[in-house]
Amino acid sequence: MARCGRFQSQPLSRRAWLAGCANGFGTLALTSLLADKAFGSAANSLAPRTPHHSPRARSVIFLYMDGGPSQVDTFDPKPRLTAEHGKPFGMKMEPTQFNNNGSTLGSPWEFQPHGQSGIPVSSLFPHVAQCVDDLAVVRSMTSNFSEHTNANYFLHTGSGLQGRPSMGAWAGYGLGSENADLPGFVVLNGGLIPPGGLDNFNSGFLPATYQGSIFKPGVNPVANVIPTEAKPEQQDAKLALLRRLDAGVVARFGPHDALESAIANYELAYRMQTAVPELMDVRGESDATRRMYGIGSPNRMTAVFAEQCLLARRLVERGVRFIELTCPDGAGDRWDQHSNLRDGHEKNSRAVDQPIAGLLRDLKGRGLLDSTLVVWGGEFGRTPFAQGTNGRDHNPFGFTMWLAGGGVKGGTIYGATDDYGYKAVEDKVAIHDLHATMLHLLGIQHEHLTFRFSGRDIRLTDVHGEVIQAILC
Amino acid sequence: MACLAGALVVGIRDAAAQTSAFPAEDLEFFEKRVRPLLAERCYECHSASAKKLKGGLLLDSRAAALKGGDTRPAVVPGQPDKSLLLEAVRYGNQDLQMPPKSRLSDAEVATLAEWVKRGAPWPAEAAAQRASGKGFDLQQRKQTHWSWTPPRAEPVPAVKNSAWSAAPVDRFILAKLEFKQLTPAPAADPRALLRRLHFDLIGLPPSPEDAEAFARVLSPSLLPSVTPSPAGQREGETGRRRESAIASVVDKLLASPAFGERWARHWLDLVRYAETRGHEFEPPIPNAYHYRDYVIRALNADVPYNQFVIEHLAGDLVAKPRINPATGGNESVLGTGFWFLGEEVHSPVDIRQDECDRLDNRLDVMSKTFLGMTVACARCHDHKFDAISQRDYYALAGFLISSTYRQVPFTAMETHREIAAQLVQLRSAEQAKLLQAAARALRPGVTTTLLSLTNTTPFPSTQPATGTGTSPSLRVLVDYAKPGPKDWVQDGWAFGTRPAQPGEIIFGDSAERPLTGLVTRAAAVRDPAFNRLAAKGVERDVGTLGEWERSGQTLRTPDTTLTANSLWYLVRGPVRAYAAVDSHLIIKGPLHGALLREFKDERNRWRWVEHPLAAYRGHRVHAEFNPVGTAPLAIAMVVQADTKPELPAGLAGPMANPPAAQLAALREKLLGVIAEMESGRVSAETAPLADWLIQNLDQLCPPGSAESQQLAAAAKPALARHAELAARIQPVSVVAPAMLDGSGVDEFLLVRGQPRNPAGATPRRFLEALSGTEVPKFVTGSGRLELAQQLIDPANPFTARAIVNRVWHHLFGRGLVPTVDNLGVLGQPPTHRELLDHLAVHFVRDLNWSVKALIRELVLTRAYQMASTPNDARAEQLDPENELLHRANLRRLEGEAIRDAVLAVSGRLDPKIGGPSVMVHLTPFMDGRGKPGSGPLDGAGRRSLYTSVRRNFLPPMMLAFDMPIPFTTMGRRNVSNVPAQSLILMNDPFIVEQTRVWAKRLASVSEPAERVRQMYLAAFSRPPSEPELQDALAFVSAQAERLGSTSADARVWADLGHVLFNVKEFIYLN
Repeated sequence: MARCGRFQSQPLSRRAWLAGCANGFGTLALTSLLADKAFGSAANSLAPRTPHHSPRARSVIFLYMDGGPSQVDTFDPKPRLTAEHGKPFGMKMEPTQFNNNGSTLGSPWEFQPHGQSGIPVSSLFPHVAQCVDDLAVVRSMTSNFSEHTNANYFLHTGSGLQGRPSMGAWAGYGLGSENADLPGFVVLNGGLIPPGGLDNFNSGFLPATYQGSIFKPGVNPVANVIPTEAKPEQQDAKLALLRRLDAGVVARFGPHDALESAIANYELAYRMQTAVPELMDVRGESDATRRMYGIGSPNRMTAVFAEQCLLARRLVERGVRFIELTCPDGAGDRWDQHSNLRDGHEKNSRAVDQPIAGLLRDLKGRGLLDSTLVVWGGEFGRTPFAQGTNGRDHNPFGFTMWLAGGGVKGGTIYGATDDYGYKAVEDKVAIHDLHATMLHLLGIQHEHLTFRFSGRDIRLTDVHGEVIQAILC
Repeated sequence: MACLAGALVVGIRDAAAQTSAFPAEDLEFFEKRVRPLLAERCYECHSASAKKLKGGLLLDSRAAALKGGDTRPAVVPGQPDKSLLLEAVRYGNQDLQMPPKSRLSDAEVATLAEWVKRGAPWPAEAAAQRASGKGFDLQQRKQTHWSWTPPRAEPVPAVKNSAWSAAPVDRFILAKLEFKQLTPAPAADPRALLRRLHFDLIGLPPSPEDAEAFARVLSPSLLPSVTPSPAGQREGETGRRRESAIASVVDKLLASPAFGERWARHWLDLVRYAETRGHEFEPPIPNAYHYRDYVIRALNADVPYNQFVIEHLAGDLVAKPRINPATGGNESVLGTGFWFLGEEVHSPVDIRQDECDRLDNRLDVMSKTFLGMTVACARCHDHKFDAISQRDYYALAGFLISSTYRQVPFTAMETHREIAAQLVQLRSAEQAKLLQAAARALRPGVTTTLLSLTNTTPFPSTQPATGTGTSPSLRVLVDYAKPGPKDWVQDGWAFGTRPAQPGEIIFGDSAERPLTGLVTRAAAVRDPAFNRLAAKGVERDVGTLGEWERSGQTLRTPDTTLTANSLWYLVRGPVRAYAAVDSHLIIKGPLHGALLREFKDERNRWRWVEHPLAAYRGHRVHAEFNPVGTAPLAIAMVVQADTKPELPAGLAGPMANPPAAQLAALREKLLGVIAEMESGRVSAETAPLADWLIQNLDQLCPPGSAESQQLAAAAKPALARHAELAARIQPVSVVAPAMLDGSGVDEFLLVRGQPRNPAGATPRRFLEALSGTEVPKFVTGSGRLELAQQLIDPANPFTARAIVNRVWHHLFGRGLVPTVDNLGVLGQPPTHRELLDHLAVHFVRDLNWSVKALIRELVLTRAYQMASTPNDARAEQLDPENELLHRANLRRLEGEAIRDAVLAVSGRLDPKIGGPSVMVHLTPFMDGRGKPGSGPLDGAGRRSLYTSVRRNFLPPMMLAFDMPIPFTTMGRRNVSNVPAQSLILMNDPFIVEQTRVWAKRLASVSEPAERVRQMYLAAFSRPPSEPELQDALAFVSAQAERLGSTSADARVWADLGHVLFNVKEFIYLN
């Protein structure tokens, strides 16, 4: 009967339980002791829970740069590449996805130092460059996979194979949500679902409660959230009868928690029907705010991503725990420039640069940046040598991601790649380390956020992961 | 043992003694430059004080550094370039870079190199002792965990209230309840029981008629009370009536084809059933639905579970496959399809790593499904908790790398097997007669025409060819002249039942050409009788491999490790070759196109063809061959070599324009050949010339000539018989994913699970804790059949327990071991250990592994038939989780059952069984690469298990209701409670559509109250109570008013139906 009892071992009265749950009583899923019970059936599995330690971030916004942006063209300048442009590549080349490796390819973009910190940013990101003092640029990321799908799963779930819970699902499992009317893990779909599909955002073996809810751009953002009845009172009448009949079921079946939870669930669903349209209705945002994000930009992709970024802020304001943005559709092949690097990266950066800067500024202006962790990056980087003549292949050996807000020390550069920007050689950061750091900032010790499945207490960080202390403030 | 220990001690002492011999300046160098470096950059992970020792390597004593970690010595004194330590710090090896986070400076690397070069000086000192953790003790673990002990036939316990039930299962349950001074709940309301039985057994609600009829028979006055009634006689009478009524419902449901559909879905959860391979572009798992239908048929036919297990592990290898009575198809082989239902990657950069991940998934699924054990946990190290060693994992992996994927022509294969045998018989029976007839037909031509043949005809070489075709530099994978006992492996019979021998005839396909030639060298020779084989109207694998006609006509070589740059094939005729490297299959995309190669050949001559594979040196490979079109094909040898091998003797190419003298000599020789042919036998040496004669029959014996007519007449009966056999071959194959056995290969033990870190090969065997380390004798290449036998051996403590527990889980809502996929240490302990054992023993010994019999027995118990209402406060206190089963569990229906019930109630359900899946309906939220076309909103009215399972496009309604993502075994689904579920039932177009279908169907019932009654019976298997009826009628008229319509309006009835779909009674079983 103990269905919300992940946290309790001795039986309480059922009523006491429900009361406790409704008040958000509970503690973190610290151990897996009770994890094998079907706790997901509780109405409150999204209720907020106490973290392990004082959190620096309340929410995460993950700006997912699908396809793998090039580190040496964005945040990791390599003069030697420019110097040796067109010459045979100076290091041993590992096998690549296309094995069509050409010569050294200098970056077509200029780098300039920016801000107080003087962190160099390429001309691909003129707006983000203005916010560089808020960023901790990690130049020594590594991944274990050279293929998009494996690398996407790895980045999202800590495992290269399908079926594991996404980091947003883990965050919800560990902390619950602070908004009773919205899901705790929202994916703002710009139009591109990454290779590996929707499973990048799934809950894996965690209960379905924690799976990412996909919000589409446009008037109908959430599946089934718009009533089909012509008039609201028609649905109200249905729900009124439903309440009566459900009460009859409880009377006949007896007082089962599962039943009452399922009934309570309708109330949440009903509220979502209002909360979601309210969330999407951005008419109240000022013109200045809109301009800052680039809403209404003549570049359609900028406009789309700007709306996503604005929605991300609105979700943060509503206490949604984990928000992921996928890239807008229409820039050729995402950030995946196997050829025509110049054209593709320019399109992609133009789509996201101003909206991201707008988001950072807006969060900061509203005092939300301190409690919101923003993470930018792709599943891997790109080769410093050419694929063919003018593209770059996948490179999991060294690439850049950046973090901002939520307890991150801005204006920091962490780690380094070699002279060519090919492989991380200093302070290497694995995806597991990134996950550990993200969880840490949310107040969770990654070793202790476990779920028993398959005979193991499984973690987002597998058996790895070290918090990147040097970028914390 | 003592001796060994002594040696170790001596070894260490020697090492210690040596150190004192180092010059002082070397020791100073060590102390000043090396030790601080080691301490700062290495000791966090490689010292006695490390929190967690990595790679088994200690670097805090010289002896330890010399000994090395899990792989090999870290330091070879004096030789920096041979020292793993230096390899690691130099960062040249992508898999071994230390320290892992940041490389050492060049100066630091130089210091370490210098130190090693000087002989790794180290002062004499005592090595720090690492507090050793508890080692892996397999026997100790086996003895201390309950599930390793085979189940015992536990005595049925005595109970006080023996009148409650005589069934042993009930006695086990009651005894535990009585021990806690609890009483079982009363019997369930008949309508609730009927609903429970229907959903549990067939996954569909009872029809209104069934519900009414059952309720009449089991009117409450006939229900037994919990305590024995004094009016024993009458009680017994009514009790028997009740029991027989229930039993007849149960029997009817068990016999319903819908039973197999319901339980197949449970099974599909275990084998991560899907119809695409996921990953980036979702290549199909072609024809996977045949596996799903196989499971349905097997469950409906009540195939004994032990046989079902064997078919999964080795259905391709059983001596007598189970034959489908309706189609004559091979059922058993379909079971092996489950191995291939996982993910596959289309262009992995690291092809071997990718294979290891696939093997991991297969072993994971196999061990959880059949054993309820998590063997895959031992991929990187010995199991952390269970008596499963890393060696066990790799011993099992060998069975899989010894087997390959195919699309098996399962409907035709048994007929073809028989025809192939008859073709061989026919050939040997007619061999002499046809050779003699051919000789007669050829003799005049050779005598007279040969010398006048134009020089456009290439003549056979009369030069004795030199060389054997082999040389020490090449390695032979297979030579079909002398194949090993397990080397003859093919899918189908297109290459006959054995390698053809030189001098054997090859049938032609017309009266004019009764023979197409002779076998000139022992080889796998395509039998033209099978030329018309084609897989048509079936799903294909992606890429070139899928375009090739492979099913029923694939020849497979043994495996080898590629040590040369190329494979070379000695072939005659055009051939398609697939070099299966590390079992990589999805050949589409930028990488690995080199694995496929087509070799053209218009001249039908023996030759070596090269398959360049330099990029795969060091990898495991075998070749699979397929014919091209209807061209003849012979494959004699497969070797690996860096340069082209010589052509073997006698197979040398022809000569053109021979001088007259040679031609005359040739004629003499050919006349000798004809004489030999007349004897009815041709030797291997003569065969090439005899073949040449037959190949050139038209020139030497013109069509229409008397000789030609005589030959045709002589060959006619044999040809007719051949044609008759060939006509029985089913040209169009229905195919399904299945396993093809290969050569026996043992997998390496991979240190820390890393493919680039192989230790010794691990002989194939089952788990050591169950069957020791002795390697069984394998009859087939892989040995899977023997493995399967071990799995179902009653001495194996897991197989019977696991399945009995799964059945219990589905019927009672929680397994006797709640963690149904894990009976190991991290699983939950059984609530009723004795009952579990009783059932496991009973299932094997008395029920002969019959799943239906087990289900029947369980649902006829009092325990199953209890009410679920928690109305005993004391029991709720003492047994809050209902672990003792003091009442039935309330259960929510699975997503599939909910959707099926909607269709059944609305009247839209199409009861068709099996067949290709209905494409999933795509909502605007389902996007991504490999997006298919959308299927119909109502899934064509088919049951949910017929909706296509595309890994990246799973149906949202099913996901919301906890259908597992198909990536590994999921014997127990989550039961979550999420707003998406409510939103679906409230607003999803499918649900709304079905309410309209339902309302339309009800139009024929004119009286509103009767309509409500019909709706309640359909949805809840009971009539409405009076207040419910009034509520419904009031709702209908109010809703009509809101619409400005009347209560005759179908829309308002759809609205009422919509409410009923949302009532919890619709999706919960009490």
